[in-house]
Amino acid sequence: MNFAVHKTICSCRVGVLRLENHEIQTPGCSLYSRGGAVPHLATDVLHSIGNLPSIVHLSLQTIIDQPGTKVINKSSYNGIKQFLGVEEFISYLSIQDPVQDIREGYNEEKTVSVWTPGGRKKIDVNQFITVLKAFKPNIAECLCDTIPASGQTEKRIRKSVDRTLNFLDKCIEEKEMSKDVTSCNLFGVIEGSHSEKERIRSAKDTSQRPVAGFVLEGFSSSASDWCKLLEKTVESLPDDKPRLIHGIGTPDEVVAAVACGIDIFDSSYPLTSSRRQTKVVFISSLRKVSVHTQPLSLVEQWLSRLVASMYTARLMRLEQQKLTTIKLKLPQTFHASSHTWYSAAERGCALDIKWSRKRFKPELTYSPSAPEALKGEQTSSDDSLNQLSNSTDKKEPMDKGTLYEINLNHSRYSSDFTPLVSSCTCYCCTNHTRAYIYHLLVTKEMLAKVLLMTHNLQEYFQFFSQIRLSIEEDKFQMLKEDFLANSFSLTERCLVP
Amino acid sequence: MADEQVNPCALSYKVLAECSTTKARTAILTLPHYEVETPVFMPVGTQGTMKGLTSKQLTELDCQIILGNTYHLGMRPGTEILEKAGGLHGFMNWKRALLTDSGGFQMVSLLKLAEITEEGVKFQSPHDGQEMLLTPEKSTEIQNSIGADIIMQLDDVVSSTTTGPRVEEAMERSIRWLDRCIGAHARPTQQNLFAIIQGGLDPELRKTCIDEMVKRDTPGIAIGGLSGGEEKSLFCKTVSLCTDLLPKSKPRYLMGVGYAVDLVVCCALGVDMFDCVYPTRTARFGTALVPWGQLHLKNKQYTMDFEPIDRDCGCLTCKHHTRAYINCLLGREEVACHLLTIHNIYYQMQLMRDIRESIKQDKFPEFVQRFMKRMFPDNIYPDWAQKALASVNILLDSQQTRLSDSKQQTLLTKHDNNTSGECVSSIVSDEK
Repeated sequence: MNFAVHKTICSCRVGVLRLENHEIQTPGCSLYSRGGAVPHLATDVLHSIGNLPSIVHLSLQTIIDQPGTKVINKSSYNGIKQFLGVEEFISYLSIQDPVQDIREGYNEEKTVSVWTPGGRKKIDVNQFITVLKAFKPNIAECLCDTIPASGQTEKRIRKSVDRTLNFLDKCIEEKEMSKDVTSCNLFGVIEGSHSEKERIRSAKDTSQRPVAGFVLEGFSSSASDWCKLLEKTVESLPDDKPRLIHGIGTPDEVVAAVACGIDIFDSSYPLTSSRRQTKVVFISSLRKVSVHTQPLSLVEQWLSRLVASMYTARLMRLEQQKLTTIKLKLPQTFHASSHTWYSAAERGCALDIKWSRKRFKPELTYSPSAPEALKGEQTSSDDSLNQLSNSTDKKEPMDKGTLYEINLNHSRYSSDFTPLVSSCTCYCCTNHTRAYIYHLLVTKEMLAKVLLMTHNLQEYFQFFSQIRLSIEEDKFQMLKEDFLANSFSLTERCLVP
Repeated sequence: MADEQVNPCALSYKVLAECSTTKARTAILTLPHYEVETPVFMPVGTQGTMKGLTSKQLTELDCQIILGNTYHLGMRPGTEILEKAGGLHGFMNWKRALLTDSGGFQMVSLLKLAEITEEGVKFQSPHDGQEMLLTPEKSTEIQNSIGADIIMQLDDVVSSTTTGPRVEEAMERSIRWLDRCIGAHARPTQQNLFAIIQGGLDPELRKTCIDEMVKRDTPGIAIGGLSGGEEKSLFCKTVSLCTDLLPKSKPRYLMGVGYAVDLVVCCALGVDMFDCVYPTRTARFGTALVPWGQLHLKNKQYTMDFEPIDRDCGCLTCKHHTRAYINCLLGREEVACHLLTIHNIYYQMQLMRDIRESIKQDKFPEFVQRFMKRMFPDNIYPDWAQKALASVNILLDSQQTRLSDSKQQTLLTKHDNNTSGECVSSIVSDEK
């Protein structure tokens, strides 16, 4: 494996990861898979998606019981890639599935627990090496004691860092002894939860070991100041090795993390948004408009009444106007400023089971992120809009995903015969309408998730190419400001200096 | 051939070849949206989608015509939205042909509280509990909004195992309802209304029904009221009787039939069109269809089976994945269902292609023999299939003498259960 950074602006950088005839451009993301399959997408549908990443992300948690090492060893395959039919990808094996929450209190001195569909499975260093021998991932995250991003005691954090370093030393030792796993690139894991001191210790100590790259675990945007913490952590890492992060995925988070110097992300976010059955149009603050959604159950009761009152023809007209404005203005503004990113100003995301499990009742609410958006259109009923917007801000920190999403599960889309995102070239947008997706969602047809995933992944992958381009063209700063300004107008989040 | 018809019609049916031994034929059925080659199997896409497959995948699988269910589509998204979207074709972006059923079958099968009167089918809406009435006029109106190439008359469906005066009543009412459907049909030059022959297993009733319905001169005719758990031999006799009496110049559609053996036998009896949820439903339960029967891929024996489902199959699933891979995903990832659905539809489509090709080459009897031999490698064929094929001059080289062997008898029963169970509704119980 070879990693070369060819441009750095402040902390943010573009590079190339060379591995097995693949050239992976960074910043980039991996292709999320679960149980060895990209959720909802059969091979042909998957390959219809543009800008498909070269790295497929497998998680030990979802493949250790099925297929498991036994099956792979029994086969004549050289590793799990062939079994899964993903030979054309580079494989990266993480310990946990980033979509599932970390369960606390199950890791022990010598073992890490993963929760498989069949229950808890304890993995020690020997088993981990067995896994590497059988699955033969190109890149593997070392066994690690990951803890949540917040609410941890100093003692627990220290233990997590110590154990993780200990696992790393043992894995390196074992790896050196067996020939079978020498081709595997082991990434050291940076822990430390919310403690800056421990983060830096973890980063520095891990850097001293012979690792091929780093995985930053235990970050979550729900923790305040995560950006600052990430920045400090990355500062303690050497520049010549790739840095991968889990738990950071929405567009504004990604931009912030790229600014800190992160190279690779996982693509679980488009899935989780497909699961919530929303698809998003994200409109930058420069446009002075924003459409986003909020699960009704998260908002107070009186708010729901407001929502109902807002669900009026006037409002719909208003929103349509906004969208039309974007469509019309976009090309000119875009070319005028040659601000490449705007071609991806419309972002999509969509969703699934997790939503219903939490018993959310997906409903649409609108709140302009920039109240000026309504200037010149201020009428009495607009007040309710602003109220809603403000109250939303105060009462609930926005669900990070919502800024970028349109919840298609709302009856207002039942006869909306426009594509999800009109400028999008994905299979879903070029062939189907919002009304059809809405119908598929209410009838609980599997095709809904297939189509939403297709769209969301394509949007997400394209987003990364836009980030790379913006860095290459020295326009990342603009992109970052747009993104973060936008998220700031809704949530008070730390800005990367 | 269809040109001689006086009544408005939106199809042409041109026979390309007829089997010189059996009643089988292959034809081009030109519908407003697509030229369909018959005999054809029509997968069922109940709610405007085929169980997780995209329109592109369906096209690539060579599906020529698919089914939508009037009852479901009338409920959601509803006729207003369908009309705005340019019918179901526009709504689901399907460029090829569509057929909708009348909605009557769902009322009777899904709803406990359905009550059938001369006026129509009265039922309680499962959505809001309101009492609703589906009349022949209403059914036709909804189907006109959906805009499928072929629409079905509302018929009075009784279970094929029913006997007594109810069967006759249902048959006669179906004729009266056909008249009402014809009267209500607003788009006869864009959509083809098919009559549905009723009459249970009674040859006299079937004959009467055919006489009356053929007089109405609909563009095509369906054989209804079968495949509901009746004895297979009676089923075949009834189908054969109908195909004997139905006009040769019109397409014949046998409703609710989709097992491979049944398809082959009924093609030999002269049927042109079939539909069934079986291949797609069984896929979702983890069963793959193969020329020698079925594979229940959830079973443990497949966890380390690194063969494709069928080595000779050309589908996407068989080209890229193994039984072990599908076994590992089943019950955990929906992709497994999609992969099996793709395979099963491909299997059905390939079977129909093979049938059509063999008829064109006038080698259909040989095809049937080969097919049956592969499906029943011990040459022990189900009695009903053997008799039905014999009635159209195809003799299977079965060893009759071996039938006395009790061991073989058991085998026979097993085969019967596995490959050609009695009715669609028994599939669920087949699954382990």
